[in-house]
Amino acid sequence: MPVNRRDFVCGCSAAIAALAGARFNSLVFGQPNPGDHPILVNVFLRGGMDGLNFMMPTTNGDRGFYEAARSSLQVPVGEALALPGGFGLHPSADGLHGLFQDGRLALVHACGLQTVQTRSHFDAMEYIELGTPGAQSISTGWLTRHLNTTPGLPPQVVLPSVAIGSLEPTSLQGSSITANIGDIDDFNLDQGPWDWRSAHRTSLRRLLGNGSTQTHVRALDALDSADIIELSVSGGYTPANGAQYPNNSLGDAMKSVAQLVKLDLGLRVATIDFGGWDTHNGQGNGSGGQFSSLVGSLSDAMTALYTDLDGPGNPNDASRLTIVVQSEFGRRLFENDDDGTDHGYGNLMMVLGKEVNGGQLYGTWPGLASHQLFEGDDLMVTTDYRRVMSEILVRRFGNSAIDTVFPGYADVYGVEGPLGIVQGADLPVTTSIFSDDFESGDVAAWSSSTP
Amino acid sequence: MSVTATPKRAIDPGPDNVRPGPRPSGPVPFLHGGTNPPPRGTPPLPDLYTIVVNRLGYGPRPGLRAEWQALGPNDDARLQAWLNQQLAHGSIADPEYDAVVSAAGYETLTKTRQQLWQQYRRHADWQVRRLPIWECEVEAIVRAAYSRKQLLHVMTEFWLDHFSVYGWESNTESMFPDWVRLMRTHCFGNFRDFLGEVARHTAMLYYLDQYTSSAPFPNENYARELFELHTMGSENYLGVLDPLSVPDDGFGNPIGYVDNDVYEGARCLAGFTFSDSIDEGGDTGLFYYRDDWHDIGTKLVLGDILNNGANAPEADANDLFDLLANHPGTGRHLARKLCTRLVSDDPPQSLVDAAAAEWNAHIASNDQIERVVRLIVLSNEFKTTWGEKVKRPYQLLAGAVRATSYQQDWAVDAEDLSSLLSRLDQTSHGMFNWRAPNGYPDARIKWESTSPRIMTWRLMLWLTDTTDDVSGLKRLNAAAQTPPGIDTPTELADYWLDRILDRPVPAEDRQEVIDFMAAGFNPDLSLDLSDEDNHDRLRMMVGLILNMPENLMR
Repeated sequence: MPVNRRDFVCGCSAAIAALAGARFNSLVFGQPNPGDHPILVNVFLRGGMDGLNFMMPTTNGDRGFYEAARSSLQVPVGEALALPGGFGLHPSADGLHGLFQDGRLALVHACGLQTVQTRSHFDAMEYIELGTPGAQSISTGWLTRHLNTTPGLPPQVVLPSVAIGSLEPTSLQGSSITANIGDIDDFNLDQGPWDWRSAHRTSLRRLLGNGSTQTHVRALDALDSADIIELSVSGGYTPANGAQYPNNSLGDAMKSVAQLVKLDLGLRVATIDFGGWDTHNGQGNGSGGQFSSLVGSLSDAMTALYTDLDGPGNPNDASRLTIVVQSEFGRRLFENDDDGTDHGYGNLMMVLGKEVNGGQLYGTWPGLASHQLFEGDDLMVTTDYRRVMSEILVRRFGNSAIDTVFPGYADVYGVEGPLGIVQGADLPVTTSIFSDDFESGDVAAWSSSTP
Repeated sequence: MSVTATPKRAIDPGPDNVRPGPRPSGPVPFLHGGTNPPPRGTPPLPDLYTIVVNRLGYGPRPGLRAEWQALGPNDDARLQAWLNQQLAHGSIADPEYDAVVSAAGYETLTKTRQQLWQQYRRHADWQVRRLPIWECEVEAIVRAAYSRKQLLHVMTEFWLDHFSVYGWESNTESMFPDWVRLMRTHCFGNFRDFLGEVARHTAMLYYLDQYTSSAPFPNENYARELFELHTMGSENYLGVLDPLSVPDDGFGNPIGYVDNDVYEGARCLAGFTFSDSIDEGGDTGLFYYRDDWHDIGTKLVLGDILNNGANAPEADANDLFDLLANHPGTGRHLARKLCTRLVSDDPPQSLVDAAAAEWNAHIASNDQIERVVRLIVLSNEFKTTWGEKVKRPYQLLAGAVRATSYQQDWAVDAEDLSSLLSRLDQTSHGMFNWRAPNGYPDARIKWESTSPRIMTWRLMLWLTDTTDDVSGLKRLNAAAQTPPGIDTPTELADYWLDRILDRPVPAEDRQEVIDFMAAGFNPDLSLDLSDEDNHDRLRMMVGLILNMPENLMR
């Protein structure tokens, strides 16, 4: 049935109305089963994560090529955490290795931008986050379009999406319903002379409503987001089940996601940025160095989030959760002269959740022999990142509008059928569920009002 | 280097089409509440003074409008005169800025590159090593707030973003005063000269790993960003493609660059480092060319064969800089960025083309950049565009200090200063704190997202309520800053609206500010501003004006 997005993409004013219901009976208005809806957490590793040292050949036939190319950066076989197929996981990823063994974590190697090659960080990130590899002209991010096509999203949801981090990522571009939150405890206006804070807020809200420029509208969205967080979040947060978040910005970000999930504000999508992966020098090999500490932080933070949501007290939350980890590209097979690696191509994606068919490797390993490499240098891409994402949208969210989320992408099920990374039903993928002017209409309306 | 001829990007040789598709300036195709989208209004065009002080400077200050009026008989004449003054910045007396800097007692800002290296970088105490960047951080706010050379600083900020270097790591933190000075020195000059100096600066050599790059496997980090960010731009990147298959633009230039150009560029640059040992030029931190790290073989860059061979120090790199600076794609890339900074996020193509033509026509001139800035500022597009951009948090902070005469001791160890700076960090616009080499975004869509907006509002409100421990006075002493005789809510609202915005505001906005200040009482009754509660209310009213949409636009 065609759905008009205007029925379910609400502005925050409606969300405020919904919040009142949430506050009184802990149910989000218009949403009968608040605990049932799925949640996607998209972790983006900025800088080009070295997937060949995150998950590397250990005992299979490619070990020789790996060692020859990485004489100083290779992770020793004895240190790697064993995976099937003669592969190993970086020794600092012990938390993730445990989740793999428990069947919660799936690993998909050699993913990426299959239809376009770029070694530019900024182009690659834009392509991935806009969801249009090869083009940067669309005005909305792929997660924004996913939110707008998620079936069954009630007309009033308090907080459908958050971007944890300092600036909103391109994947959520064009979404007026996304709260972009740095530090959740400081996300308020509790500043200035005490007695007049409330009056300031009242007047500011009226001033923002006095105009209709983009500046007014966007600032009012921001104030609405602050309202939601201030009214919902009070006091500190204690993780459940003994979960221990690392004491760094990634740990804080993961903890904020857990907090928001438990507040039952209707969260569907969260993004987390984690940077520092552009390891052109001094990368380190096994248990030491810059790369190792990044892997350790990522592993510890993901493990904490999963643990926090998976205890006996809240069995539902971990099963609602799908965490997908990606980066803009992998790194060159061959180390450079500075004990680092330069920009490459295919890379590892990770999918974590209770409804993930974990404990398995997915995709097609292209091999590391010279003729198997892209340009003779890089791991080839054998799985388009959109295929992994599409399967999550279809099976976890029941969202079959793949052609809207990823315009022009048709290869959701490949030749051999779904990858089978997550549980859920397969659906016929529609071309476009929108009967009205999804891209052109509103943008044109907006453009026409600005000379 | 093997490359295959499989173009994965469409190649369109038209100059208008080799950039990314136009980004709509309005990012919001969705609704804000309700089922009918509110009309997205265009703010009315203010007078030229307002455009100039907010887009070519950091905002109004008391007395500035009168100075503007005295510059000429009409706005066009005033803009000409103002621009001439600002471009001749060497002749601008800057007593207030000088006094603040002198009182703050900065010690590192005038040190030479070698002094910074030897006295700070090599110091055992990390706080001494870090002092230069701390001083730069504070001085950047002081300069935007107090200096009369506003355009000089706007352009310095532009180039600090363009050649972005993360300032807070070992080999950049101590060298930053010299890095900022380099930006300031060249910001109106010749781009080719500028590029050569940037490539040889310790901060850049370190930040993008060039300093360790040597043959036969050079580190390509700097070379890639040199092409993609500093010169031709990603709109001229053709991806992984056979360099011999790249079409010519009809004037002898390949229409774009490919990965092979980046690899060859890295070969040209191998040996560019800084001297930190006896076997180089001593422990000086100065640029050093290591011939023994260089690759003397033939290179193919942008269709040109470079065959400098041995005994030609830096020749390959200089040829590379020439090729990049002279490529018309570089002119188009920089023209678009300058128009974006000075006019709007989606500048008219006609203006970009005109700026690019000026850039390319003066490729060898000493005042190349100045000419382009002049063209943009004097264009009709500049004068008729308003509110297509928003002020970034740093500008809002500097603007608040300017308009309210916020009294702060700007010495790096001054009371509450670290609190102010950490609040600026929370807005995502802390000084020299952007880690990726693409620099702070110059797009409203990023700065209008909720986190920077809320955190900037918080910063403005924090400014209204800090107290100087020594004097016991509020730093934003609105009562003392209000002239005698102005004491009713109506008068106070009018005075402070005018002081901060320096232009008429819509009647309903004015009424809202009056209502705030009157708090339900008759707005024409006098208030005793020596009363603590009244002063609290007045300072919060100032905060409200700083936070209102009219003050966010530029």
